[in-house]
Amino acid sequence: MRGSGWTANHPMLVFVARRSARLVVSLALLLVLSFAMIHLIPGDPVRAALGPRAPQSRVLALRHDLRLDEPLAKQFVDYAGNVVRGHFGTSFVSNLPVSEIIGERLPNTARLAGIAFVVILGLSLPIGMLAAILTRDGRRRGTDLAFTSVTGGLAMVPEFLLGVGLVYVFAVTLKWFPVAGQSGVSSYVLPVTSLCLGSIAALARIVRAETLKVLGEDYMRTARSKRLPARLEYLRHCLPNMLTATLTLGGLLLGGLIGGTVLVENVFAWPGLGTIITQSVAQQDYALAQAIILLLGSAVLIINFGVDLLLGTLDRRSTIRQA
Amino acid sequence: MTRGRRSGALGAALRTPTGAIAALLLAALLVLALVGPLIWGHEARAIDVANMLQGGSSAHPLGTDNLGRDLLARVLVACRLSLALAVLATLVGAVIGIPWGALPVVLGRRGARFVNASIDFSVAFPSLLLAIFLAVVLGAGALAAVLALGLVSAPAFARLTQTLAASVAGSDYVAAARVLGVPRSRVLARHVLPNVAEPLILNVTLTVGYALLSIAGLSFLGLGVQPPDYDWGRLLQDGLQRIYVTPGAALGPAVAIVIAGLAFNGLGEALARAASTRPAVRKRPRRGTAATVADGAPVEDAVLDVAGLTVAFPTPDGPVTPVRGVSLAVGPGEIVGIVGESGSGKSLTALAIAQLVPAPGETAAQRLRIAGRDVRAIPAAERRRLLGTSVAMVFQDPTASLNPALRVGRQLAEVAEVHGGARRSEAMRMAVERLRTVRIPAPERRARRFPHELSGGMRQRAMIAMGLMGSPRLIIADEPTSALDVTVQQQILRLLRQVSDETGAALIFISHDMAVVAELCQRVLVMYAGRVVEELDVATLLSAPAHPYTRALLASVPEMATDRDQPLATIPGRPPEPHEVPEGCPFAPRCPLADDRCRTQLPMLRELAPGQAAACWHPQADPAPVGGIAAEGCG
Amino acid sequence: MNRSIVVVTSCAALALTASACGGGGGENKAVKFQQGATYTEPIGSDPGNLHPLRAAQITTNTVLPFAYDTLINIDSRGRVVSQLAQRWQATPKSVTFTLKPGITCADGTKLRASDVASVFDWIKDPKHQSTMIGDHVPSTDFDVKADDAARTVTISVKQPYGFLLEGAGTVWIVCPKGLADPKSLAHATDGTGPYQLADYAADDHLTFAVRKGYAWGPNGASTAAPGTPAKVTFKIVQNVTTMANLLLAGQLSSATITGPDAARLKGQRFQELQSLQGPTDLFFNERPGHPGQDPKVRQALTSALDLGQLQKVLTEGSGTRPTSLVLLQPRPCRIDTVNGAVPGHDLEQAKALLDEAGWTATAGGTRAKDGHKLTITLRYLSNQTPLSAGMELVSRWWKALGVDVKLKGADANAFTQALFQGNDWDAAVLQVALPYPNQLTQYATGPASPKGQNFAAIDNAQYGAISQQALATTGQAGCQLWARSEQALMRNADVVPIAADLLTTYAKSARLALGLNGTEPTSIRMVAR
Repeated sequence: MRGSGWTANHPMLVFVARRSARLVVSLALLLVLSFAMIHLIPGDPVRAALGPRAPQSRVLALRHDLRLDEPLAKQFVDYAGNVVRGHFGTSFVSNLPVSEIIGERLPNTARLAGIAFVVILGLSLPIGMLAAILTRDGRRRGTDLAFTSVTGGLAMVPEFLLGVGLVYVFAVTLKWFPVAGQSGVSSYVLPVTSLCLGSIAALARIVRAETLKVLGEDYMRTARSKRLPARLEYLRHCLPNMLTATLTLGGLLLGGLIGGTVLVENVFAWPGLGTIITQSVAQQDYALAQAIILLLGSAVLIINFGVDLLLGTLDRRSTIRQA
Repeated sequence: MTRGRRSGALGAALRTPTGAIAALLLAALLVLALVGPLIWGHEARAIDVANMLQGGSSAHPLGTDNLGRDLLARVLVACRLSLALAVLATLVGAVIGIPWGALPVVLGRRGARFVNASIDFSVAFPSLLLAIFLAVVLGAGALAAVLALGLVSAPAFARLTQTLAASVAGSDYVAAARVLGVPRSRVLARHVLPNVAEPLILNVTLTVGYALLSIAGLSFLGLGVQPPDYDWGRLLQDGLQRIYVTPGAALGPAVAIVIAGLAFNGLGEALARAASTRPAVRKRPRRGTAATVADGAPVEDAVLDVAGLTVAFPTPDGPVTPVRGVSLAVGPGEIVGIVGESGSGKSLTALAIAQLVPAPGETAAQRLRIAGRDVRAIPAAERRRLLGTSVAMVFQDPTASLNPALRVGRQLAEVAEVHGGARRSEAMRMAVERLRTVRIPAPERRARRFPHELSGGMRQRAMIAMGLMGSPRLIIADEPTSALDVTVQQQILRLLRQVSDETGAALIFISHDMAVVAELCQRVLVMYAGRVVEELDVATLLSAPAHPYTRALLASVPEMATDRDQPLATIPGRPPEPHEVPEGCPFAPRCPLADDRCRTQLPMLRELAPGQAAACWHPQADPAPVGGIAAEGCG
Repeated sequence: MNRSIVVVTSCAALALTASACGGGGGENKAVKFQQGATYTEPIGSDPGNLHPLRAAQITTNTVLPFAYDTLINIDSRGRVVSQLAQRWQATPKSVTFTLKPGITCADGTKLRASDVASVFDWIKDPKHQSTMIGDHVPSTDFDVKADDAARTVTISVKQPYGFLLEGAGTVWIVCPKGLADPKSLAHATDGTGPYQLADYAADDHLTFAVRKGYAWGPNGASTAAPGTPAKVTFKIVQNVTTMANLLLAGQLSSATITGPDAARLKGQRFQELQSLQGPTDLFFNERPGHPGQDPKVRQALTSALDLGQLQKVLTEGSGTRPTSLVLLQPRPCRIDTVNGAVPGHDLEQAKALLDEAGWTATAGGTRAKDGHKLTITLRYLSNQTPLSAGMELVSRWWKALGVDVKLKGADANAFTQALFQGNDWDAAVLQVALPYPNQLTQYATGPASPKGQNFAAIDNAQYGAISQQALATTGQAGCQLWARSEQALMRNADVVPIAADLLTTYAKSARLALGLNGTEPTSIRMVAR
């Protein structure tokens, strides 16, 4: 029968199909969660937004306008329907359409996070691999200790603290970079550095650990026995095997990057999503908060999906095992 | 994982500088957490409004806070709450996450997939948002922060547990257990959990560090610990507002957080390192005499000519020499076997010949010539070509020895590309040819496969084919059949002999299996405790071995006709570890013929007859009971 | 101006309010002015909907005076000065304004008296839910008449209202086109003011462009004055430290900086303007079942506090003792009501009062009465370090008195919720910043929340009687009555004022004065460095 044969012969396609199905389910779940989260917060945000002096009639009128007096289930159905059509509603705090607010701010956050992500991967992979190669088999204890201490220390410094410190030294004192805001290439340097440093340190450690593990494997001994040049030995034989675990953790890193972005944006008055997340959640500005949660959650889910696909192509065994 | 090994890991960890410093810091922090509030509590509470918001001074090294309280005292006292919260949050996360991640092992396929999907989803959810939301719903405060962070870190634990458990659960012995009908829960408890415990413990240690940071982040957003309680996070939040004016107020708690994080991380790292490396030598080794074998003259026309080969590893208690003064000469086309129990140093000898001993081991030899060239004297580039082409290694476990990420053909072809200067297509063609040589059916198709898509026997054939890529003069096979089942074993042995015959390459065959060695080889070296104790041709081996050890080995091989009512013949005792080799003959403790001379004086390898040399004070001359080895002979 | 309870959410959300005490104004010695420059100022959040007659946020009121005028203005000394109106006549029941000639809207059309009357008609319509009702005009129960030829507008109320002149006189006058299309005023302006909105980027900035020919500012101020900026930009900056950094780096012309960052600005040759904010008061839940129902308990708890020290802590040493419960500009009444009215600091007296009230000391340390422990849940806004520190201090003092104190800090939403919708609190510290004494009545009398705004359920007969009288009285006579009413509240410990913040506005590349809602638009002079 064609079915089973086809499935067995195209494990990659089955894998992609499965993963895609899982992504869709996850996105649907995210939709429900984003709705539930905001509505679960106790309190009346409309009253809070209008202030205690607003007459009750005005509060009720606004609630009715926002359709907040309808049963939750119906509200959710409306919400889901709107999201699918691309309507994200209006922020009742600022009276602006949510898509406009997000449309203006998202690119800024995306740029910051994107650059940071690229820098992190681009630096931590070579640094970590190099550290592993230099210190394998217990060589160079001094380098080992230095690497572990420096990366350990950097990884523990919170981004906001780093940001404040960097601003103090480089912007206020040395005046090399602008203090805050988004204004040209030089204004990216400090925020990106604050975001990156800790993650580079953390990921470099992981890369080194994974590389060391791989270097200890028997197949690396085989590669050495073939007397391949170092470049081939490390890049062709070692790298693909340690990439699997690294990318998995790298995908998780991007989720963490979003949290860091919130804090760093606050320090640098960056016109991105970070500066309105906490506010909109605390104010229960339903439309805006839901949209942000939906957006960020989807971003992470989709990135993880991409990472999974990438890993699937790299590590054939896992594909088959999962299928 | 035995208890001994666990405490060994901790002890080993504490011996490294990172581990020691981290453990010291952690101990200091724990002490601070316990006694800090008792010692400095009063000072931390002493309000002095007139002196509020001061910077660092001799009276107040970090300055004072909004009520004039000493900040240094508050930082020290806050240790308890900070650590407690971080530990609690991590525990909550672990308690929720680890069972969650272990569930797939217990559930059926459907259930497992559902749980896996839930973990994937939760891991992806942006944790900061979840934390903010939880804190807002539960009301700001320490309890909410702990719960929020615990819930947020649970998916990470679950994911890790899931990954580890899956890799263990996918292993052969667990599959075997399942086939035998062992219930899933038992599999989980007895097989999966003990093996994932170590990485999980490491992760717990690391997570505490991150929990500290996260709680500080929550406090930065105002959702963590609330007054009148205070932790480092809250102190940091207060101090950050003043960082430009009185930096001490922020630096104090920041440094505390960093130190605590470093301590947890450092210890976790050291534990992980210690658990994965060889256990450190504990006893003081007796210094073995470095071998000085009677100098043989260089052998002409030898493919391999090595004399006085020694491998030494440095340990805290002095160097350990698992290979002591081994000499060996192999002529073209010869098949030589090296046999001995585990720990006799035979595998290391093979690695040493191929210059593959891993650091920090050091190889030394009086003479090491391959294909007539002194390996140590020639320039590096030449040495690489020599070793890469003239010497072929066949390792024991072909599954682990082939790179899982590369196709089989590529792994073969690159030898020709690198050493032969061949182009890709040419090299691939050669690779397919070699695969055909080792009797792999449909070699063109197989070359495009990945190693895990081949059977065990085919993988070993591929390894052999890989070694043949460079037209080797010498093939060193280290237990090439021990990982294969018996029928495949025979095929590989036949293949090796054929290859040797057809290409004229010499073969060094290393094994603990006397029967296989006797079947395949022309000449045999018997190793014990890092030395060659007897060297003889197979015919003599099967008729009249001289060394008591060789005899004992032969006697211990069961045959089809062995009397089943008698216990299996074994050699009482066990071989010495490399660091506990006694003075005198290493076999003396187990030898029925040993006397005082044996125990004090080390016998050297002496020629007893043409083609037979033994290192013994009492070499036996009479014919030996052969045991189950069919005297097939070879050659 | 619309003054709701200022429940301060972050330092950056503090409003700039009036009264320049030092430097400021137009007279400068030998300063070179810069023509055509841009003046940049920070605000803490996006103003949101810019419709003046619906404005509810403080930041909105900060930017509105740039595009809209009012009939009169009030100077730093509390005196009424001209703006759109050049003459006025006021009684408690009616006020007549005579407009200046030649007033034009942003699009050039002339403003007539009937246009002004239309604005009042608009806010009178309950459908429009204007925020001008309640703060400026007490209710929709008024009549308005206009005479275009005489350029007069008359507003008359049924109930006498002592601040009718100031109230009606500070209603934003919207031009007819914008008035007819309220939606269009959400992110655009249509007024007679010295500037008009030229650019808006949500959550980032608003930019206003100057209107040449404007000459009807307060006391006749015009945009022809040298140094008037060509553009005014409000940049949204949430973080005070960031504001300070930007100010130091020259990217802001002025900023109000509070807290420790202010220390960095000292000695940097900034012009400094001060304004009062607050006061921060202590309230007690006076409903049955709460310890605060008993005036003796309230007085005892107040006496246990060293208000002077508490004030220092709450303002980090940079504040002052409040002189009244009403401190914001225009502050028409400036009598010191606090002195002598608030129960003094006396721990022994406090203990005695509690004993008298029946709360006796027990072995456990906490006082009890009829088997119930004396527990006080003290609520306040979280995330303000000086406030949290102050609450810890209060907690310390009350504990010494034998009270079991539970500190409950909460974010703005939860706090407002707890106070105005709930009953789970015994004491609360919050800032109630009002410009007119009559605005206190909704919090100090009337139905308790959630029916009304009287969240503490205060029932002070004396205050009720005197304030009624004062409502209908104008001028200093009215202020005397208001003063007595406040003192009635304080003696009864219904409201205990603790601290007033002194906000400092720093300016470098500009000279300016503070008006009713922040920077007075026509006072800005850009100086060359």
